[in-house]
Amino acid sequence: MNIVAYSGLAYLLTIVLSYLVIGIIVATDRAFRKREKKKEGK
Amino acid sequence: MDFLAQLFPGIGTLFQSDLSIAIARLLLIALGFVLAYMGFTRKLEPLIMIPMGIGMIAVNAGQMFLEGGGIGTLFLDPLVGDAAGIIDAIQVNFLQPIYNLTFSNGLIACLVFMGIGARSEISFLLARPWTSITIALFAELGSFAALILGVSVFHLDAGQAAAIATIGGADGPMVLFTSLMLSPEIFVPISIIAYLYLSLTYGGYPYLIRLIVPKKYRGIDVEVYPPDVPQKTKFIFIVITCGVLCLLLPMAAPLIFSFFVGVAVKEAEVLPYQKMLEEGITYVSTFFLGLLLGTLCEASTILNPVVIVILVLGILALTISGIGGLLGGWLFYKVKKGDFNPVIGIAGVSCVPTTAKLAQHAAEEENPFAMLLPLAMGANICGVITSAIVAGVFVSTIGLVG
Repeated sequence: MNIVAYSGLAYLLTIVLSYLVIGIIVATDRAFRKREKKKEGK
Repeated sequence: MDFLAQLFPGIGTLFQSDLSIAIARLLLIALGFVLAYMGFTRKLEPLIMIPMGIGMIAVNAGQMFLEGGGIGTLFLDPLVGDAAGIIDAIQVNFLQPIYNLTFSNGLIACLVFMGIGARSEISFLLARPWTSITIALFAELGSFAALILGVSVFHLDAGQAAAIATIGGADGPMVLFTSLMLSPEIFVPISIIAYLYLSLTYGGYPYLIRLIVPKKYRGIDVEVYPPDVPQKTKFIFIVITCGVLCLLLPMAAPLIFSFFVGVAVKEAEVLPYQKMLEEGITYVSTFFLGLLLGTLCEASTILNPVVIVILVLGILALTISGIGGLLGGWLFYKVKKGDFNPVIGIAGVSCVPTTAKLAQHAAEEENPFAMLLPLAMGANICGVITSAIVAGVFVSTIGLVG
């Protein structure tokens, strides 16, 4: 693979993994907030 | 003359080695003094520059004649590789045990990273998570541009180019770890130049901000406060993220683990560990990192022609990353219709917390009431995460380059 194609692929992989990490963080935060709200409702 | 050379071998070796080596030694002694002094005056980062500068002076002044007619020091020999040689060297060179136990396997970078983790407040990231991570990704452009330039313009092999390119991520431990993994033969000049440049970002980036963000935009205030996230939530997403990233990038797992274990200790409030990481491990490892980088900086290091390439590529990588981050800031200024300060973009460059402070200072100069720090710290923490991912991607996949 030439270097330009590799760099493009590596950047794409970095973007996907970075958004995955943030996705995990945001999803966990939301799940806990929902649970807290439910608890408060009860 | 021979008697004098034996009596004062530090001076004698100057006359008995090549002229280029002798001149390089004198230049490095002078450079060591300049770095240590600039650390003393706080123009450069004192935690690294004082031990590094004094290490450079001592190792280049303290050369002596060794058994067998060679010239060397009693500091360390980075080239010794076989087990018997290491055992011999450990008994002679006083820094050899630390070098072999902590440097050649990247442990020192991981220890520094644990300290960074223990000082990172992850709540900032949740103020505007998607914005922060996008800015951090823009601020990685320098790493990828430098990789392409390194191979296509400077004709480096892909591993060397990738190791130098990580300077664009502006994260010292990351550069050290990647260069040890991908290009151990030139990790010393890469790490020294990286730490030198990282110290210079404090002086150089404000000019870049002024160049790319006109005065009237620099004072825009963005009122965002980090949400109140329960520690349990933070702890759980730290553990999950660490596990997922280690699963996906096993080659960078030591670095990823080190950062997240630091954050986990902080969030779990394990006070003895937190104190140990923040006040013990961070300073001990930073001290020895500076000291060993300085003592590894012998004359042969700067006579290596690749040093010029590292100097040029390193500054290009950092500049392009800074420009990339600020362009990301502009993108969000447009997307949010003016409710965003483009200066925050510089904080995507993961030099924690320097670039976040720079963003705050730049805004404060134009508007004393501007408070960008929460958002800038969010981008900064995301910068650390993206830099670790870039390092992991490079280390895991560089073999794909034909």
